[in-house]
Parts: sequence; C-alpha cells; structure tokens
Amino acid sequence: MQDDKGLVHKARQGDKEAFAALYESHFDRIYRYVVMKIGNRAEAEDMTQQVFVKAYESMGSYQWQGTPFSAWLFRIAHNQIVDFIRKESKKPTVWLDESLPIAGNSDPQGEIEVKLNIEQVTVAAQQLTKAQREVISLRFAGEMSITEVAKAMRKSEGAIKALQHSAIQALRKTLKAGKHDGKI
Amino acid sequence: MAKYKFENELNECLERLLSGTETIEQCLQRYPDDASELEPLLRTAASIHKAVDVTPSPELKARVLYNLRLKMAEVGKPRRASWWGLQPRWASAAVAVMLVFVLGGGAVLAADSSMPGSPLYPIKIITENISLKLASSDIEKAELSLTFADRRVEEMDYMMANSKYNIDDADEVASRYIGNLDRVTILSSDVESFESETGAAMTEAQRDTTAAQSPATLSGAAVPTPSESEETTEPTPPPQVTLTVPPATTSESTVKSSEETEQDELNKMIQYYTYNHPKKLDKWLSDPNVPEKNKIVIRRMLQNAKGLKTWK
Repeated sequence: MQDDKGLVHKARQGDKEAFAALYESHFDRIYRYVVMKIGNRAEAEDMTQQVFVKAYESMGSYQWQGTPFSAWLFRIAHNQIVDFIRKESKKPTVWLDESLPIAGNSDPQGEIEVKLNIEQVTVAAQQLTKAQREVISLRFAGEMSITEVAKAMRKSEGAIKALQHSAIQALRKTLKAGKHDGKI
Repeated sequence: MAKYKFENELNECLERLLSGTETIEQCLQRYPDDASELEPLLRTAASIHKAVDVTPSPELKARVLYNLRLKMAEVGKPRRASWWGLQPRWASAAVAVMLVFVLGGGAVLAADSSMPGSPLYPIKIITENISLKLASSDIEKAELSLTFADRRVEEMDYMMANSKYNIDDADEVASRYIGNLDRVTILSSDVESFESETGAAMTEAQRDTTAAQSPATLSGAAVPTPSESEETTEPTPPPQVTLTVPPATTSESTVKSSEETEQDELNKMIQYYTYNHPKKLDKWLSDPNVPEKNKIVIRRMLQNAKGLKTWK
C-alpha cells in the first residue's frame, strides 16, 4: 500500500490516479462509518461518493501537517451526515428482526457474544451521548486509532479512552435490555 | 488512579482484539485482576465489531469509483483555497459556510496543532471561539471549554520546553486557560449570558482583539451559526465540525436520561483534567531552569485547575 502522504501530495497536483488510490485505501472505512451513522446502506453509497468528490474538490486546500488524511476524510463525512440528517424530516425506519438473539435478563452476566447487525448497533447507539456515539463510530466502523480519533474529535487521548469505556458500558446495558424500540 | 489504569487496559485489549492479534481470553490473562470487569465489555465490543464489519461489494466500490472519476474529469485540477478559505461571491450564505469549512478545512486542521507564535495560532483560537458560540447546550460549551483548557496546558508545556517564548506569551496562554475554566464554573451556575453578565470575570486575554476577523462569515450554514448582529469581541470564523445529530425519537424520560449522562460525562472530564493538569504543570514548578516569572504564571493556572468543581 502506497504511503498516504505521497499520494496526497500527488493528488493535490491533480494526479487522479493518486486520488483513486486514496479512494481504494479509505473507501471501506468511510462507507462503514456512514452506514453506522445513518443506518441506510443505499443512502450511504451516495453519501460516501459525495465524501470523496468533496475531498477531491478540496484537495488543493488540504495540507499534511500531522493530522492524518483519514481524519480529514472523516470530518467531511461527518459534515455530510449532518447535512443529510437536517434535510431529512425523519430518519428512515428500519424494523429490527426480533428473532435475532439479544442477551436479556436470563443471562445477567451477558458473557456471550451476541449476534447483532449494523442497524441494531445504530439504533442502540442513539442512546449514547453525541461524543460517545462519535467515538464508537470512528473506532469500530472507521477503524481509527485512539490518536486519530482524538485528533478528529479535538479531544485528548485520555478523554477518548474515557468516552470509549463509558460508551461500551452504555451499549452493553442497552443491548442487554433491548432498549431500541424496534425501529430507527 | 485505578479508573485511568482500567481505561488504558481496556483500550489495549480493544486494540489487539480489533486488529485480530489476540483473543478475549488472551487479553483477560494479561490483566487477571480486572478480568471480571473487562470481560463483559470486551464481549460487547466484539459483538459490535462483527456487526459493523460491513464490507462493501466490489461492484459497489467500482460503481462509486466510476462516478467519482466522472466527477474528477468534470472538476479538473483541485482548486486551492485562499488562506482564510474565502468562498466565491456567488455562493449562497448556506453553502458558503460549508464550503469554507471543507475548502478551508486543511488550514483549520493544521491550525489545531499550532502553538503560540505560529501564524496559524490565531486560526486555532478563532475556531475555538466559534465552536463555543455554536455549541447547542451549556454542557457542550463546558466540555469544549475543558478541551480548550487542555490545549492551553499542552501549549504551556511546549513553551516551557522551548525557552524562546517570553513571559507575555505565557501570560496570554495562562489567561486563556483561566478563562476556559472560569467559563465551566460560570456555566454550571446557570448564568444566562456569559458575555454580558460575567464581563468582570473575564480576563483581558479573553477580549482578544488581535485575532483577525475572518471574512468566512457564518451567515446561514448547514450547521447552526451565531447571529450576525450579536456583538462580540471575538471574530466569527467558520463553524467547528461538531456532529449535531438530532436526538433520537425517544420518550422524554430517555432524553432526560441522556442529559444526565452528558452531565456525568462532563464531570468525568472535569475529574480527569483536575487530576492531570496539576501533574503536567507541577513538573515545571520544580524545574530549576524555569524562570521565576514563568513559575508565577504556572502557579496561577495550577490554582485554577485545582479549584475546578464538578457540576451538581
């Protein structure tokens, strides 16, 4: 895999193949992040495309100064999601498949690994605070390191670790209790 | 503190789990004392990790790339934004702010890690100020203020390690730090208008008239913007990227529960910083090479750090 820094430099000069290589390298993570945030895969496809279009259009102003290119992409994705949610009068409704096993009170320790789908995680994540939700999305869907998340969210690494801890705790409680009302 | 040790252990286990280099059982063997607390969290994390592992099909990826290539051909060479991210005159107010953020995003991101004395440092402060103005709640403002206070400590740390900085730079950073913490205290007292009612509490450095006014206006945006008529001593720069995801359509009790959780989160942040900041600042007080005049400044910051109270 080519170095992002070198590809970014070439893409800024207008090298479309270099940008296409960046696309190949980051598409999956951005797509997963968008799907997790909006819970709609069809919309996520369009939105992911828009992220890369905007990134290409703005490459001229991006400067590699310690902040990873991926963090910049996630910020663009973040803005796209904000716009999308504002435009929508209501979020798409996805009914959960209630046959999927979710650990309930019969398993108070909740030690088994539960089979979930991304829509269920999206719904459960609505019970989190904004910051917790963002950390979970960037860490799990975006596969970003603590350092990258800290830079993207402009918080300290310690704060991100604390948010990560409280978010997973809260999600565990939500998923165990089945607090997701069955729809997004 | 034990809590931070646990969070570090959890994070280390997650890093290994998410990268596939270790199983949960291997992680637990490494931290037997905390295994009972770690295990349920790691299992939840493993479930989430599997759930979000949505791999886009090769067809989807190829289709999006095809469309992207068409767009790239249309756009031609990426354009360069001006230093301040000026948007074209024809852009509507709503589009202007978004363009400023995306086109100027490189400069804003670069400014984030800038230090006093850097030409990008004013952008950093401008961006912080506008973030505060765009914050939708007192808790969000308080969280932002704490994050910015943390940055001031990093800046002070950097300046002490680079003795080229003079007392005025250090004083300015310290004053901003105290202002950030004052804001947290005042917000928790439920003062309606921080600017109008707490002018006496603000330090001189808060009235930063040296930062250049950004022409990137916030008159209308894809994200909430401050009123243009609002008088402020601070410029109105582009909005921060804060995800203002609308709340879920939940019952009032769930919303209330979310607000209580945010306050808990804020208090955790306060506790974290009141623990960590004195540690970082104390080391400079005990350094014989640090001039006494700089130590006076650091003592002021330390006093405020130790005095910060959690919200009730």
